[in-house]
Amino acid sequence: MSTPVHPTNTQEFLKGLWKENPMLVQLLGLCPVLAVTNSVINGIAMGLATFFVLLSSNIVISLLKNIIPKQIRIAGYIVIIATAVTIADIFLKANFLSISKALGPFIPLIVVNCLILGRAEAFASKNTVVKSFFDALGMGTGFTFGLIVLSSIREILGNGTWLGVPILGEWFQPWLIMILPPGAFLTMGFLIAAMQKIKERKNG
Amino acid sequence: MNKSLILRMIIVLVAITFLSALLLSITWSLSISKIKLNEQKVLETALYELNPTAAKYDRKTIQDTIFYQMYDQQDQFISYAFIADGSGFQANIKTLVSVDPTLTKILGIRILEQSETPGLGTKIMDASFLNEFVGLILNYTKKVPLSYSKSVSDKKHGVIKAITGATISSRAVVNLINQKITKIKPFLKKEAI
Repeated sequence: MSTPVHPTNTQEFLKGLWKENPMLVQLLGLCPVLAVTNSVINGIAMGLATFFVLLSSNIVISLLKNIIPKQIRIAGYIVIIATAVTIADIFLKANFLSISKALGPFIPLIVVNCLILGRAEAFASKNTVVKSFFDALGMGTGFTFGLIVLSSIREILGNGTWLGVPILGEWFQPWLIMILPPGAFLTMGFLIAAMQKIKERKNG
Repeated sequence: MNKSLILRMIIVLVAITFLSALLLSITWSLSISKIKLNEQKVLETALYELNPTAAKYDRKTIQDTIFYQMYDQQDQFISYAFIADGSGFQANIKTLVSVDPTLTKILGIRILEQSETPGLGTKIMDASFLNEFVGLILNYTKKVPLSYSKSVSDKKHGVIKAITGATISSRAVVNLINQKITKIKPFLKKEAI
């Protein structure tokens, strides 16, 4: 068994899924989380775009960590992150126009998602490329997973559909509030509470 | 701070920005043709969706104003279409509007571009909202031919029902169509004769 001081790659990956889930535990990047999760497809697209940006910025930053002087590291990181975000934005515009249109300004806004800069500053700038890769993989998966759960609850209750497919019958009166901003905060609160409850039980 | 550190900071930052710009311009040049093609496709699909009987269209420009004339298979002129764009809730909204040759009835509209709030303002692209405009009679006796109501639509008098939770976006669409129709009307009337 490895000591906590030197976690294995698998542990670096797994921590992002549950123990340090960026959305439900670290509460990072909540602006896009709350804003775009009114439909599952938006949640998935946002999650994957963030995943891509996180992965590429973590790799590049961990590669350059000894070259960038620490006085200008934030400026350097932001340029790297913004480049990845713009590439993701152009890619979506060229290949997935309808998703790009649905997400509108929230794709460019990934630049200021504190999850990305947070991982760059707290992890990639201090760890090897391989470790940073697994860290981004875990954090990205955890973030995407959180977005899918949140957007599923909101779309089902707020619109009666999942991924655009009606799953609740005609009898169902959609709770409009769930796809409006208050629905995001309410669902988010319940999700965090549920997660804490499960953790508490586990720890006895 | 010594001189070599300052020099190093400048060199590193310039190098990073240079490489980023290079990478972005490569990505852009690889995607631009696809993006342009997408835009053209979106426009054409919308034109033919709004005019199912149309077989071809002509793009015309009169004094910087672009509009499209739709023809059916017998080369009969059946309708006009024009792009109306302007500010929405957050950024520009670009709509395509098709009207009958007498400019009294809207055949339908499509949203080509928008950056409204996802899930709220983006509902201006939903069929239920777009259908509000199908067969809408333009009311030229009023100050503006189109208007909106929060509760009920009145197609015979140019009134559409705004989307609950997205009144600003709904109003923006109505406003920009109004502006464009008022501006384009004199040209189209001349063109029709």
